[in-house]
Amino acid sequence: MICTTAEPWLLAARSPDELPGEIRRHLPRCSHCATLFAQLRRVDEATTRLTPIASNSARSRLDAALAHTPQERPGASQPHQKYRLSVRVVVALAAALLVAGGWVVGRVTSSRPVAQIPSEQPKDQPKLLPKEQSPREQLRPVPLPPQVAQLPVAPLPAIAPGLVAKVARQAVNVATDPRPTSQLDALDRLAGEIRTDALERAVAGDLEPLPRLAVLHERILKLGVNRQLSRITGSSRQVVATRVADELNQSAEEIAAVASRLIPVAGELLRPLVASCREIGTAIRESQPLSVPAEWPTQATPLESLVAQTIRIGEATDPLARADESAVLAANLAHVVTVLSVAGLTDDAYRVGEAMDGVLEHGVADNLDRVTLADTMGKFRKEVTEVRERAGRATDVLERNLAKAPPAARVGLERALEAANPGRVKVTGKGWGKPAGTGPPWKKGDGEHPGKGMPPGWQKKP
Amino acid sequence: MTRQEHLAEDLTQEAFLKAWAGLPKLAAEMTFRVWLFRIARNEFLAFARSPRTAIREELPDVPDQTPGPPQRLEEQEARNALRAAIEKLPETYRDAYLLWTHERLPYMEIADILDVTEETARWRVCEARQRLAAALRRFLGEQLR
Repeated sequence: MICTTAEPWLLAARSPDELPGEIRRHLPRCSHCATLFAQLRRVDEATTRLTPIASNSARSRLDAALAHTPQERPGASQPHQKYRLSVRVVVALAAALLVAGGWVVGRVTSSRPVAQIPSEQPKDQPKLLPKEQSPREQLRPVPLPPQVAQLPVAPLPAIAPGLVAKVARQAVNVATDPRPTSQLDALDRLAGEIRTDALERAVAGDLEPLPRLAVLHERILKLGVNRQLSRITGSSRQVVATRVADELNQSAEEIAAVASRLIPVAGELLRPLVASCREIGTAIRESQPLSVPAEWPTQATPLESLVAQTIRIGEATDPLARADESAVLAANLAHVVTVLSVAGLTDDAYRVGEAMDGVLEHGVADNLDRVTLADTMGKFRKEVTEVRERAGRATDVLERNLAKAPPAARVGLERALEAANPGRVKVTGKGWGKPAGTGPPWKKGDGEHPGKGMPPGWQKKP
Repeated sequence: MTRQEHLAEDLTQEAFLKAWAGLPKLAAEMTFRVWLFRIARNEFLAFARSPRTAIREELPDVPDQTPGPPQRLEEQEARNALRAAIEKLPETYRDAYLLWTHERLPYMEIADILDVTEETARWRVCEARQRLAAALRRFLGEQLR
């Protein structure tokens, strides 16, 4: 037993009883591990003692509130998927009322005008991180410290990482199935994710991303959903059009209802979403032409890049073009994984890594197989090889970043690499090799113990 | 999580009220403890997403429960250092770690509450412990070679 093998177990165990026998026996023979384990347990004990004691009045206030709170009737039907939004909004509205009250009080009592938040820091000014500032001080531009050279990655996505992972999942659906109905559904769900995120942000008071989200939402509907609808032929087209139009009008009503109950500035920022849902829903129902959406920004966020590339895959009709565009999407996803990993958002990095796997396998590899099968003369052999190499190169960046990554970023990159590996193997014929000694011991597996994610003999789910 | 005693009490009260109101609809396969912690966490997240209008206050010192001589300066310093180190943890690590220490929940239940995999919950706790031990090495006495 060596210390590097024992350490992950020690980090995960509260007491010696939770350790496997071999490691329990190792402890008395190894002062390093024994010291580490003792220190960890002392920290845990000290943390437990930090809990503040609730005030005497807390219990009596709770009892009084419970006495006046009715219970919901059991057996209420599950809300329909389309109305899931309303249930979540109701819960969030309670918090929004608190926000609104605080905002009103703040505005009434403030004697200074609210400063504008600058969109960019001047490049020549030194930058310092703000510390313990009041909300008013945070509105003024604050210089930040000089940047320390790290991985060459873009800044953290301006949009929520969770949303990026959801968009990535729909991108896999678009890349996987070339049928217009399937691509339309995926793009429609993608637009729905954007609407849900925008609504949650408006209710929570996070207003800055809303204008950009509203424009992105409009592009998805006009350039994605509507274009796929135009490719559907026959009687099913009208059926799909009616369904999409009904959903958009329903969403418009829900968003308008919420917007009317929010503070005015938040409600106003939701109006473009309502307008685009109504305009596009009506145009789709009546087969009217749609106005051209705004141009894509010259400096797109990772989310906008993902969406744009997803729409491009949807527009590609032949398998070679779809494989090529999917390779570009995989490169975009690799970039997002790096950004999320550096930010310590391990779970989101993992989910985007899973999306990469789907894009590589279904978007790139499956389409290249279709080309190869149909290309009996070998006319497209060179292009197929180029796309395979491009997909491989685009995802090599993850492995290179892992070698240089700070410890905080390694976990996310490793997990994303693992998730994306099967797809990479299918495209390029080779996977990522993990350097020796990295990762927890139970993941390596020796054929005698359970698979990854569970140390041997660890507590299992019932 | 909130670092404010009164806010913590308010959010706790809201969580209990919601749990009480929704108790008849608790799914049979979910344990009450996990369900309640999920509600509490969602209350905190709903609060955390709203703009903060109050300056954050430090957690008050926990009064020493045992009668005896006054606290030594070093113990006070260690407690402050621990509190600061916990505050510095990424929120995801801190949530998992506090559920593991204060509530002594198994990784499976922590994963259910935080809506992550069991492996992820374990990783977060391990990371948190590692970071805290590193931050407090000076107070822990013996040095690791």
